[in-house]
Formats: sequence, C-alpha cells, structure tokens
Amino acid sequence: MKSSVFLEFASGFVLRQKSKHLNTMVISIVLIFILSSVMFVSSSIKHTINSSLNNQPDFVITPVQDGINQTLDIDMVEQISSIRGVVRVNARVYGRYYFRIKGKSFLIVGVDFFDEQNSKLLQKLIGDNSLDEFFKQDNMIVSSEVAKFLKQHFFDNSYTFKLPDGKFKSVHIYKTIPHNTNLIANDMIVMPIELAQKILGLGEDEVTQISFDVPNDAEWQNIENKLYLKFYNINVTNKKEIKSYYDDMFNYKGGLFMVLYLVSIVTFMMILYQRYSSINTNDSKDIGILRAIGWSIKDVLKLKFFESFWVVMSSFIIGVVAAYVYVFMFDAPLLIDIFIGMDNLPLDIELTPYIDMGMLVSLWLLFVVPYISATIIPSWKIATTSATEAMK
Amino acid sequence: MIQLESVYKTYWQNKDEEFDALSDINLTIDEGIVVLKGISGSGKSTLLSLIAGFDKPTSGKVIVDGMPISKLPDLHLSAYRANKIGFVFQHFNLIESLSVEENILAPLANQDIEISQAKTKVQKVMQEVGISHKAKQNIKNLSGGEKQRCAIARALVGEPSVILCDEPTANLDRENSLKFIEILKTLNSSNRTIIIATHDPIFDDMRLEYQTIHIHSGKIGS
Amino acid sequence: MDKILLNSEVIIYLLSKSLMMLLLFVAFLYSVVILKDWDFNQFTPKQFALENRSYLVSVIIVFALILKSFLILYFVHTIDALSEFVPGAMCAAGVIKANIYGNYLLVLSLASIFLSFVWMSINAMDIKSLDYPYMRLKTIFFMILFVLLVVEYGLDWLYFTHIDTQKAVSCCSVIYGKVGGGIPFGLDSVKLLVLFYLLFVLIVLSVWMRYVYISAISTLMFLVVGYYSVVYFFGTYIYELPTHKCPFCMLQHYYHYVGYLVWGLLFGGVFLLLDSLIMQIFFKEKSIHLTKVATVMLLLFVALCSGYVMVYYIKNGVFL
Repeated sequence: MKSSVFLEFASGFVLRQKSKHLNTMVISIVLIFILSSVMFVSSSIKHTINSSLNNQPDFVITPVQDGINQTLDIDMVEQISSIRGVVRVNARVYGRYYFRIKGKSFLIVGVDFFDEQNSKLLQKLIGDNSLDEFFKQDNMIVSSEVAKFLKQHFFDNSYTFKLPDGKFKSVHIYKTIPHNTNLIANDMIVMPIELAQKILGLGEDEVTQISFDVPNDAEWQNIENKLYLKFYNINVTNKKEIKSYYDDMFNYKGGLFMVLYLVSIVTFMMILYQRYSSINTNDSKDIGILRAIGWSIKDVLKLKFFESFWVVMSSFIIGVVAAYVYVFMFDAPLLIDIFIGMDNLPLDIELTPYIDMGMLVSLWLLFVVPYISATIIPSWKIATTSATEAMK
Repeated sequence: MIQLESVYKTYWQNKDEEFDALSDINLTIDEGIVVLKGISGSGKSTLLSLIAGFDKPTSGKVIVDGMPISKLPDLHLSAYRANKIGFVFQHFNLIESLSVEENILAPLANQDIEISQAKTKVQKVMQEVGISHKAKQNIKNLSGGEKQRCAIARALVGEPSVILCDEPTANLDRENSLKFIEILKTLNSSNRTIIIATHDPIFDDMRLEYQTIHIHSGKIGS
Repeated sequence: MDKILLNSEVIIYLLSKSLMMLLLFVAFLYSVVILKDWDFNQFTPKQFALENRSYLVSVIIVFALILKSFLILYFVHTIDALSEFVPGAMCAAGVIKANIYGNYLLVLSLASIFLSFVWMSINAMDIKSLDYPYMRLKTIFFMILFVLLVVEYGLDWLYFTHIDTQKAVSCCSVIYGKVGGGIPFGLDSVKLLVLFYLLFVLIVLSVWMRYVYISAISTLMFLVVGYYSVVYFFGTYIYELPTHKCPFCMLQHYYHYVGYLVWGLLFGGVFLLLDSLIMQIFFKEKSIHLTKVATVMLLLFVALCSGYVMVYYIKNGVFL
C-alpha cells in the first residue's frame, strides 16, 4: 500500500521520540483516568439503581412518620385494590431486629406468600423445592452474610428471636442466598408476614408498607390524588419520583465533576499549546530537515497529526483501562466515598461493570477534541517554518 | 540544465538594513560536475538554496530542466525537491533520533511507491556508498565519515538529476574527504548535474573533470 | 433548563462545538487578510506568509468538517439520551420538536456539512494547481460558510436552552403516523418504493455514463425519496412493526444502532456524489475516486434497507 511507506517512517519517527511526549502523556493519562473513573462509578451506580428500580412496584405507601402512626392498617389493601387502574396491591412488613442493643441488626421483611405474585417470588427464592415444605414449620430465608454472622454466634440451622413481649420464637433457616444475586440484600431475612409481625411486635392487621402498580402512566397523578383524599396519614412515593431524584443527583454531581473537568482541561490546553509552541529546537530542526528533503507542508501536517493521534490514543486506552481496573476490580477506593456520601444509597453497593458505547464516545470526544484543538496552530507553525531557518 | 536569470536575493536584517546575498546572477549550468568556489559568506550557500528551492529569489528566475521553480506553490516545490534534488549538507542534517535506514527512507515517505520498492531503493544506495552494515544503527553512534555517507545515500535515494553539496568536506578528515571524491566520480554521469560549493583546496588536486564557477560578494566572477 | 445543560452529553457537545467555532473564527480572521492582500505574482515575504496561512485555514476547516460529521451523530445520540427528561418523548423525534429551533438546527447542520465537503474538494484542486486559481473563490466561500456556522452555533444554544422539561411533547407515532405526517405528494408505499429503486438505478446508470446533470437531479430526488422510504417503509422492517414510523428510534441500541449506518450511508453517499458532480459541472474536475466511493455508499444503503425487508420475509414468510 502506498501510504504504508509514510506509516513506516512515521511510526519510527514517533516511537523513537517517546520521551518527548512523556510529560504530555502522563498528564493526559491522569486526566482521562479521573474522568473515566468518575463516569464509570456514576453510571454503574445509576444502572444498578435503575435496574433494581425496575423491579420495584410503581407506588409505595408508607405511614407518615409522626411518632404515633408507624404502621398502616391492613384493611387499606382492599380499599386501594378497589381503585380503578390499580393492580397487584401488596402489603409488607419491614423492621429492624437488633441482635444486640445498639449492635448488629437485621432487616426483617415479612411477605404474604399466599399472594400470587409473592408465591412466585418465594419459588424464585427457594428454587426448585416445593412451597409446602416451606410452610410446614416456621421457616425463614436469609442472606449469606446473615447466615455467616449467625453461624459465628453458634446458630447453625435456626435462630431464636426474642419477641417484644419477652417470649422466644425459634425460626428455622430454610435457605441461604448470596446477596449479589439481586434478590436479597446484605442483611436481610425474608419470612412469612405473620411471623414477621410477631417478631416485630405488630398486630395481625398492621403493616409497614403497601405497594401497587398502575400500568397506565397517564393515571398516576389521578390515583395519587385519590389516595390522598381517601387517607390522611400516608406518604405516597412513586417510582418516577425516585428515579428523577437519583437522576437529578447524578446529573448534579455529574455536572459538578464536569465543571471541574472543564477547568482542568482548559489549563491542560494552555499547557499543551505552550508546549507545542515553544520552539523545541530539535523538533523544529527535524521538521526543517524533512522540508528540505522534499516534504510538503501537507506532509508535515500529516506527520504531526499522526504524532498527536498516537499520543492521544495511547493515553486514552491506558487511562480508560486503568480506570476500568480501578473501578470494577478494586471497587474504586476513595472515589466511591464521594458518591456514597449521599442519602438513600445502599451502603455496600457493589460496582457492577456497566459501560456503553455512548459513554466511551463521550469520554473520547471530551478528551480528543480539546487536545487536537490546542495543537492545531502550533503544529501548523512548525510545519511552515522555513527549512533554512530551522537548519541553522 | 539549470538556468538563473537576473536573480537577486536580499535579506532584511532590520526594517531598513538590506543585505544583498546575491546580485544579478545570470548563470547556465549543464550536466556534469560544477565546483562553486568562494570564501565564506560569498553567497555559495544562498545560491544552492535557491537552486534547491529552499528559498525563493527576491527577483529573477530560477529554471531547472525547463521548469521555473521560483513561483511554484508549496506542493509542487516540495515534489520538485523530492524528485529532482539531492542535497548533501555541510553539517549532514540527519535526524538524530532515527537509524541510518530510516533517515534514507525519509525522502520516499510521501512518494507514490510501494513499500517493497522503497526498501529496495534504500538497500541499493546503502550499498553504493558502503554503509549497509550500519543500516539499523542510530545516527548518534556514527563517525563523521559514516554520517557523510548516510547523508549522501539519502540524497541519492530519490534518483535525483541534480545533486547539490554544500561544503561536503568541511567536517571530514583527509581520508574521508578522499573517499567522498571517489564516490563523486561514480556519480558523475551524462544526465546528472552535480554542484559542489566549497573552498576546500583538495578538489584542486584530484583528477576530476569539472567546471569552476567563482562567486564573490554575491556576484559571479573572481 | 438546568437539567438539560448539566447533562454531560450536552456539555460535551457544546464544548466541542465551542472549540471548533473558536478555531474557525481564527481561520475567518486569516481569511479576511488573505482576501485583502493575496497576490500570487508578488515575491514578498508577506505573500509567502499568506500562502502558509492559507494552509492553516484549510487545516482548521478539515478539522471542523471531520468534527462536525462526528458531532451531528453525537447530537442525535445526545437528544436521544435527553428523551428521558422530556415528558412524552420516547426517542429523539420528540426531543427535536421540543422547540422551534430543533428542526432548523438539524437541517442547517446537514447543509453546512455538505458545503464543507464542497469547500474541501475545491481546496484540493486549488493546491494541486500551479498558481492557486481558486484562492479568492474558496476564501469567499469559506466566509459565507462561516456565517452559516455562526448561525448554527447560535441555534445550538437556543435549542438546548429552550427545552422545557415540564412541557409534554408528541412522540414519534404522532409525528410520523397517520395523524401527524405522511408521505407527501399523495404517494403510497408501493409508488414510493418504485420511485426509490428507479431513482437508484438511474443514478448508477447516469454516473457510469457521465450524464452529470441527470445524475445531479436524480441524486437530489433520491435524497428526498430515500428519506421518506426509510421512515415510512424500510424503518417498519427494522422495527418489525408496521405502525412504527420514526427516523430516530433506529439509532437506539435496541436496533443495534443501525440508524447511524442507514442515515450515514444515505447522507454521506448523496453529499459525496453531489460534491463530485459539482466539481465536474463547475470546475471540469473528474473526481472519479469520489464518485466511486459515493456510489458504493449508496449501493450499501440500498442493500441494507432491502436486506431488512428480505430477512423479514425469509423469517416470516410474509411482508408486513
């Protein structure tokens, strides 16, 4: 191929002058590393939250936290079901059970497994075994972390809960589920709703949360209004609000980082411009020599572009790969604290690798465009220096 | 054939101070070896620059093989330099960070040829000047004589019809200067013009057929 | 508005555009000087400096063109991403219609890319000749192009600062469905398809036989017909849904981003072909290579679209 003579020469030219570009590359790699890491962490968390949100019901009703009403009446379930457009109404009980006062606690989730949706969930949790087995005695499903903790305290197959009224209740561990399957959280115990009510000291008709779905988007506002008219002491949150809240938060944090980045890239551009401009005598001389032996301005510009491209691509690839390793293999120590220092985020969120093409393209544009922009004029200046001037 | 018609080259030191490097040069140079003799600062290098197309004359015409080169736009002028001219510089002007082979390849990088052809040409000229054994060596590690040979090879690789040498023996010892003249003899042919700008008396002693042009203070003649 | 402006893709897009405009402004300033003082017959250092400067202008324009071609795809990707924030929008179609500037911006972007291609062709011709015969022409052309680019840049900002995240927009089924749009000139799908393939054959033949005027007209017509064919016919095979008519949804990952290829090949092929035809008509420049590339692109475009229909038929035994 005809252009391969150029490539052969250009590769040799660029590769032998690695040290010339070392400074630039180091700064580039650091910038890209930071930028990519931020983007990876942000989008990974966003993706995880979005995915888990997708599995959540559209609406969740909780009691207003006024110190008096901490529970909802189970009768509400029927009333809510009667509203047109509402489906899959589900009552749950949530509560913290403290293993030791002010010490380790577990999140107890009481689910009504006789509900159709929930029995499907139960099947999912216990795998192939039949549901009858599960209901034969007081059984619970725990996360692997909980199981480990209990075992450390000599509770191998079951645990004896201390009830609020002073009595004890022994519950058998039916199955242990590792928490990274997205089915169960780190410190969660899932059990039938009646059992949970007993352990948490709630009455048979008390629940902590009622959730439901509304398939028709357009009806959401309407239904929310109806609910507030019907009941006084409730808080209604819908999925879109939560999503919007997180989106805003990420956008805001993302925006902040962007501004920081913009400041650093402008500085970087100035450094680049300076660096490329300062008549590096060796570089200028070499270009003068090339011009003298028959290279046109166009040819020199091609060479300069090749040089920049090589620096840019190497820095980009190294920076992105390093960021990937840092974020997804080492869980981004230090950086994740900045993100996690936010409300409402699960404290032990695991960063699952999630990158899409759009993100990589954005990263690439964000770095390459300023770089090339800063080096166009200096490259041209060098390409047009008179051969004789340069060789003196 | 090289023709210069009423060529002037003026440099401006400051706004008002003019300096005439060349005044009213009228010259016709045919094929063969031409030695341009003159002391330092007489305008030899300037004359060579104009013929090579590094610089443009302030006025007048430079015509090479029927083509006026003074007004050529950059793309054409560079092509002219690449195809027609082979220049051997006084200080060699090799790219220090590259190897011998890479330096010699440089003039061919933008030509319309295949890479295998290019490499063959490089091998050929390296053999002609006797530097094949140093092909992969970095320029920094070569002696003065070897650098010279590399510079000559680079000048020859494009098969130019005009070879220009600016004080080629100034940085060489006697032994290498003699070697250079030997190479010169092999290069002398009927369709090639070789112009050597020098004030080295070694050229007087050698049995070399050449034309002499004297230049003094930017003018032709003694 | 904040939600939009703080969105990272929007920031990246506007940043890239701003840097590009800054460089183009430098090129513009130099062009003014070139226009004023260019005289090829002068031997002064000033004239030589102008020749060097003209190289800077062309390098900047090449950079701008490559970047713009990239950015228009990125723009579409960005507004697609924004559809999350604009109520009612399922894809870029809704977001583009969020205010009056969107459509003008898109059309102007495409037009300026085309004009940049033409500029580059003229420039390539100019530097190859012995005395820069088109220096003045291409400089004036660039200055006009620059004005257009400034307008486009203004539209960029107007567009992104006027997207109301509280106001609902229509989604593509309304915009392109029976209610909103429809194939113009009273054509139906069959007639449109016939026109589509006929025009393509006409282009290939007229290019091969060097009938430049016929090529030019048929290419222009093909652009329009091609657009409608993709939206109202071929698109439905990409979505595998006869009622889904939208030029933007096919850019999403559900459809493997094939939209970029479809539109890239159509617009790229048409622009390059028109460019080479302009060279032939006005500058008597053969542009064989350019013509070949453009024709291949259009061929790939037709093959891609037809391919989707074929594959659907083979898989399902019927057409939609």
